[in-house]
Amino acid sequence: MKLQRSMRNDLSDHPIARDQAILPTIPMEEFVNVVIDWLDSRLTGGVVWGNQRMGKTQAIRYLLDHGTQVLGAPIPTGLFSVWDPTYTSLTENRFFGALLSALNYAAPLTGTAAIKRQRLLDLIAERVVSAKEYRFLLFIDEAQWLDNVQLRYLMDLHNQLKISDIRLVCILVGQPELVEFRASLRSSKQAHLLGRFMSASHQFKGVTTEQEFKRIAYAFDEQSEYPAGSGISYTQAYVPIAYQNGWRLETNIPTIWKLLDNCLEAERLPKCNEFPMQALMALLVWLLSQLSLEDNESLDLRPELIEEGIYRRALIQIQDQISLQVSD
Amino acid sequence: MKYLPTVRLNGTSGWDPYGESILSIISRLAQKNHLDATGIGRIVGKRKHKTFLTERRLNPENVDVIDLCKLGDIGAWSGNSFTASFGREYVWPIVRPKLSPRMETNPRKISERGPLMKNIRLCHRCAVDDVHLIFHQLRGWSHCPVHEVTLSNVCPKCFKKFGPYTYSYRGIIPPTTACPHCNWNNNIAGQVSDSDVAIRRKFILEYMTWMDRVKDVLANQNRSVVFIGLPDYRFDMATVEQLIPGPDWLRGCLLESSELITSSTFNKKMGLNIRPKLPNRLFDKNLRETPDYRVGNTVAKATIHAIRCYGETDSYLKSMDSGLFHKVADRFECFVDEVDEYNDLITKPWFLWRAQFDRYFLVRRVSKFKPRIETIADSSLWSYWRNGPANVMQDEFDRENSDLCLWVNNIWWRKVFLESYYWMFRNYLSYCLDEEFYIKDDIEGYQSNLSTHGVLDPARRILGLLRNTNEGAALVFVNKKATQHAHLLELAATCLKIGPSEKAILQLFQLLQNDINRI
Repeated sequence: MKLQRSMRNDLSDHPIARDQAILPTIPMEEFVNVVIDWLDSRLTGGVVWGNQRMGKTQAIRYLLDHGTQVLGAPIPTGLFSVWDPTYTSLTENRFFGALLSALNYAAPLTGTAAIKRQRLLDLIAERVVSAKEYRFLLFIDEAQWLDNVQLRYLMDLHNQLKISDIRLVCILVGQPELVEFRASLRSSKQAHLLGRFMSASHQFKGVTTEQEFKRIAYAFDEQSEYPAGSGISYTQAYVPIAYQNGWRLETNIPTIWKLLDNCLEAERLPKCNEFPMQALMALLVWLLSQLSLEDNESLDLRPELIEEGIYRRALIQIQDQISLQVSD
Repeated sequence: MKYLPTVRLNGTSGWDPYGESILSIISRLAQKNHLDATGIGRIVGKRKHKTFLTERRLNPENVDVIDLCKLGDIGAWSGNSFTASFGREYVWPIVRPKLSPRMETNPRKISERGPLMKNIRLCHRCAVDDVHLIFHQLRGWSHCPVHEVTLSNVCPKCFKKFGPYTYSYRGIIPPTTACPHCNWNNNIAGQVSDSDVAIRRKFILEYMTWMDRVKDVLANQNRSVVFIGLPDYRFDMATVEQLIPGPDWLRGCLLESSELITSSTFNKKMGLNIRPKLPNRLFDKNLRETPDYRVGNTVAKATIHAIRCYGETDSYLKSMDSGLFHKVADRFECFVDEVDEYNDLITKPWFLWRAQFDRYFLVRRVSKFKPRIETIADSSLWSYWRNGPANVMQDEFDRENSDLCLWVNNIWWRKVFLESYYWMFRNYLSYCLDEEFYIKDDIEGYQSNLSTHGVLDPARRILGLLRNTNEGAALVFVNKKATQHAHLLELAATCLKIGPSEKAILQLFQLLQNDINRI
């Protein structure tokens, strides 16, 4: 018991306990492949949309961290998060200042809008040149809040960089409203914006099948490691004795998947087409932390525990998702 | 892996600022990021110095103004990247220099700059890459340590001096490598080559290590070398070399000598016996600070100030503007050993001691290249050496030494010491190359002529004429009485040095040779 308590203390710094773990999932792989495809097709932008809590931002972070390996080229990248557009927050100064800040510029708030714009162009050009590339990949998160004015600022950047033979590739990532925004631009025939930033689109889905859920559990069991270089997977860190005796989270996924359906039925909810990634991650982490208290050679994941986990950690987010699904 | 942002400014990637002056670093950051004096001050200034915009000009040597840690973070540079960016790092912190009366009455005259030039001085090849090294500002340097070209503080376009080595009191910090008068800027925004950076790093690191060693010696932490002591002390070159040549200083100092070697080789091929150029002006305070003049002037000063004289007289002290140089020179008097005969010192030119040169550093003061023989016997130190301590008051000897210690000015020490070595080595080489000439000719007569007759201006006039007429050669008529054989050859050598084409000079040489034969 003492050993288990000390282990729990150690696990407080674990990436999954701190919500810092980024695990390769099937939707993430699809997202990366789509981005590579767009880059190869020489598109200058595209739209990635999906419901909230599906792991879009995590996927971007994964790409930022592993850009060179995943994309096959040292393309400089940046992540810019858009804010709620109001009358006062749409100024050029604010936009370029925020973009400079997002690209980790040391003095993002100094100077006028024109100076900031020039600094931004210099910054992007310098990073591209120093990487010996010709592309700059800019992810724009929460892009559903983008305003026409902000898109025009981006278009200006795009044009200025093009003069220097640098291609600014903007990936707009956001919620389904982004599709509506795209439709509205199309209806207002703003082809110059559509052609630059929204020429392609991709839906980022959550977990839709048991197989995808198994893929996540497999990553917990085999494809994760903490601390780096230790060879200890996430599952092994939580239930080391059981893991040593062959227990795997992946083998329990069919039971969990079935119980998820059962719980929804018991709550008289419709079937969920797309489980939010965050809900399932919360469920798995909760289950592992509970199992770590009773880690032994013949560990068994009891259905009661799974049901409790679903109700305590996942059901609220799944209900939200279902309500959106019904309204669609 | 966690996504950790690194906060940077534009223009910092691929930039190694080691050895660049702090003014150049700040100026370049401001230029690349479109920041004014306040903008860059907010980023890299310390708490109380959030701007470089002040009523008075700010001295770049003032370390309290800049937050070096923050500056290092912005460029992802290591903490010691800026150690070589301040002139104070090249100052010898031995003793506080005793101030001259003029300085004491006017404290503002006391420079905080250490050994730096007042106006910005550039290497034209470094300026292409927008690089300004602190070495370019150091007094006593005439060449860029990286490219080995002459430094200039004059704009090549408008011929006015570059701006002062200070932060501007205006709102905008101008680029260091541009002319503030005509906006001349040769910067083509190129990346500094890796080889240049490697040369710079190697040179500066070795230089600073060497300086540390010298500092130890001067602070009496290294007892293996004693500067002032009894004549019994031996100073063999194995030890002194730690101090004198410096790491690559010798290379830098001997640039002109290497030119001389080339010149002499060329002369020998031509069948001529050309004497290498010697400084043609001495103590000319009004000498313009043009690159052509500066080298000669510096060498002349070093010659006068650094070359050892055995014994000092009051008259000599009075003849100098200040006793400072003289006393500094006196600090290094005891590198002479194994001088058997007193007469040798008097009669033989110093270069005849070349046999000892490999092992001993022989230093004598010459005034206008002429040994002051009459003063040698009056020297208290010389008497001490010759006759033993009985004839000299011991306390007097101690007082002299302590005074000398006080007078060791950081700036002049380095200048005097190193340049004296330069002068000596240069003449040693000249001697080796043109031995016959030196022995046969009356060197004193030649030198006195040289000190009164400049050859640079006639040479320029000749070459200007050649350029204007598109001719390959010029026939020069000379006054037989006024001009000596050596002076003519000096003129030819100078023409060769500043002339436009080798062919033209060859023909000029031929004509001169004929002329000389007639004389």
